[in-house]
Amino acid sequence: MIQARGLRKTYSMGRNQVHALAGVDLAVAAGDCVAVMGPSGSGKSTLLNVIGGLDRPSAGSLQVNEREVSQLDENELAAYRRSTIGFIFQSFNLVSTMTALQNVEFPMMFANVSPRQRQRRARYLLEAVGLKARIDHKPTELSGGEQQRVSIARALSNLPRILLADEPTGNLDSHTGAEIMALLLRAQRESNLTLLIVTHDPAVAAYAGRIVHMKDGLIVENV
Amino acid sequence: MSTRDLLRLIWANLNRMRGRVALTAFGVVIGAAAVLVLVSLGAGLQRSAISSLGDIGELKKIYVMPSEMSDIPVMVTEPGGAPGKQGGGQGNKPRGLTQQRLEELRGVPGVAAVIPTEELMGGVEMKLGRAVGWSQIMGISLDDMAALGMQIVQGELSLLSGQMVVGARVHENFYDPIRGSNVPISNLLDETIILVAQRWSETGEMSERTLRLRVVGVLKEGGQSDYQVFIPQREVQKLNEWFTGKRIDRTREGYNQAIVVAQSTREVAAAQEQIRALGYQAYSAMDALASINSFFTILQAVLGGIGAIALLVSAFGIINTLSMAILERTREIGLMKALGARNRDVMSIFLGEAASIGLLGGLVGAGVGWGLSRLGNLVALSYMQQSGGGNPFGPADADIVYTPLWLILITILFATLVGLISGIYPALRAATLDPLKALKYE
Ligand SMILES: Nc1ncnc2c1ncn2[C@@H]1O[C@H](COP(=O)(O)OP(=O)(O)OP(=O)(O)O)[C@@H](O)[C@H]1O
Ligand SMILES: [Mg+2]
Repeated sequence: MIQARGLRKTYSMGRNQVHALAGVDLAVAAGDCVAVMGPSGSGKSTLLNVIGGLDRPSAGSLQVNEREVSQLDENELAAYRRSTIGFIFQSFNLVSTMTALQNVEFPMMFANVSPRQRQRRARYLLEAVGLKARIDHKPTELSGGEQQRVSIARALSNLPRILLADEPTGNLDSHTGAEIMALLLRAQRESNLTLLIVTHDPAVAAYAGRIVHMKDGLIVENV
Repeated sequence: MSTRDLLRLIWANLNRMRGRVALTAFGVVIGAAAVLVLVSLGAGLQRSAISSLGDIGELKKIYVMPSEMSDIPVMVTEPGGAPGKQGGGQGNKPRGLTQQRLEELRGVPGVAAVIPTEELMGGVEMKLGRAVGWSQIMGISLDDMAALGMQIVQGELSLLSGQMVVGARVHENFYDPIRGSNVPISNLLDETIILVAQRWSETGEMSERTLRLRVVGVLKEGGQSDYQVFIPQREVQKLNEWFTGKRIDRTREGYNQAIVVAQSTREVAAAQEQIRALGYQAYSAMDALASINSFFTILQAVLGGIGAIALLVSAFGIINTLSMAILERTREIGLMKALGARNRDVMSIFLGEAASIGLLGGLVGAGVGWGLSRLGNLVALSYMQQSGGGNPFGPADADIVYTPLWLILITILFATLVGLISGIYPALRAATLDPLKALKYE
């Protein structure tokens, strides 16, 4: 599913160069659940963003579904993010003026899903994440855990193949974090998704079938 | 992204910053209203000026006179002269519009009719009871009145001996000779008017001659004929003979003036040109129309330009408001891109917001401008009534400010366009934001 070879991302800070990714080799099969761990600044988020098509690698190759992502142009990259990837952020990133329902519908707008179908699917997903009673609530009227449930529903709306979650439990207490992890794993199993989770929490990593450790932009341990 | 979703999203975004949108649109309102009012003023003045030229019938007329400067080179067989001799003009050769010359005019392409007119050569007063009036008195035949397209609104079109037909506004021009005040007359139909011609002899003695005529018809309003009085040609000729003390033989001397009626207004310019080339003097309302139109086109462009400056200023307001919106919504833009929005989608949203502000301002501005134009007309009307004068540019009851429908549409369209163009730079900036940086933006 995901095949990275010699993946590099270099930031130039004046005369200094920061190697956020210093040549990552990684293969993830479809339906795998992988936890990415490592110290702060080791390049975990960078790896996830490059895989998600939010950032372009400086060198190396990244193949997703046998397509070279680093070669895609702007529009193809947008289509890739829209149809292949579902993002889940640490800080939820919900649109504060939209209700839970509208937030889940939002990505489907860009995929040209009809309003009727959009609503039906958004309702179904919100129900599946246990928010049936919160459909018309705005993000400020929801708890952190509820907000993260909305964002999981949103990530699933366009039927992605890969879910990318960057510290999805980072802003939540351990109990709520465990609920969110259970939800993510359920979604992953039900749709046979590939799931990559960046986390500092060994308890969270324990849910994953596989743990990848990073240090200084390199994968140092692949269990 | 479907157009419907796009519009909904734009609406929601505008709604969430409605305070700022209202203030920004207010700038557009001022600009659009200024454009509308100023161009309406230009259009109103133009309309007044054109309507003062008269109706379509008037625009088809060419007034032709013999040239003052040189004799008309027409082959004339003079008594005792060689046939075909040109020029000369020793007084024995007639300068007027003879039958032959009238025929020549009738032969000009595009000419429908040629009507010689007999104008009075001395002063004539009209008396109605004690009231005295002045008017331009024209001698004409009944056939020629019909050929000129004159239409009767009261009475009948008839010019037998002792009858007269009056223009629509002749009744306004009667005065009390002692007090000098206007005598209001509601209707001249069937009144008997006495024409008093006056003549001074070389020794300074005045003699008078009177002519009683009954008004049998009143003409439709519009144009030159409004203040004219039409009487049988023979009556005018008799008065002229009395004025000059000479017998007038029009067949030999020709007429001093003729009205050439073109087949249509389109024919006027070419026919007039050709008549001039034949050596006559020719005037038409079309002369004035062309210069009026070119003058007012420039005036409207200048006035519209002044209004457009106000609109231009409002464009900076739109740019500013959108730039601020982009700063505030940077994370949201990053999110949209992460969710798979194309640059084009982001671009359309911000362009749409900018154009909507323009459209909103244009709609309200056109309404405000239209209201101001109406108000301006009311003020102008009451001012004119107070000062007693009419609209100096045209009929007294015409509006000074005139707003045609196309102007309203153009103003709204223009304001929307200004919004759209103002949105290009902010929208491009938003669309090309780096999604990752935008997501991390605080
Ligand atoms: N836009 C950027 N410009 C310059 N350097 C950057 C940029 N983004 C990341 N870096 C650097 O790249 C390195 C990797 O960053 P990354 O965010 O991937 O770390 P991380 O492993 O996710 O850390 P954390 O656990 O704290 O989230 C860091 O040293 C960071 O300073
Ligand atoms: Mg990180």
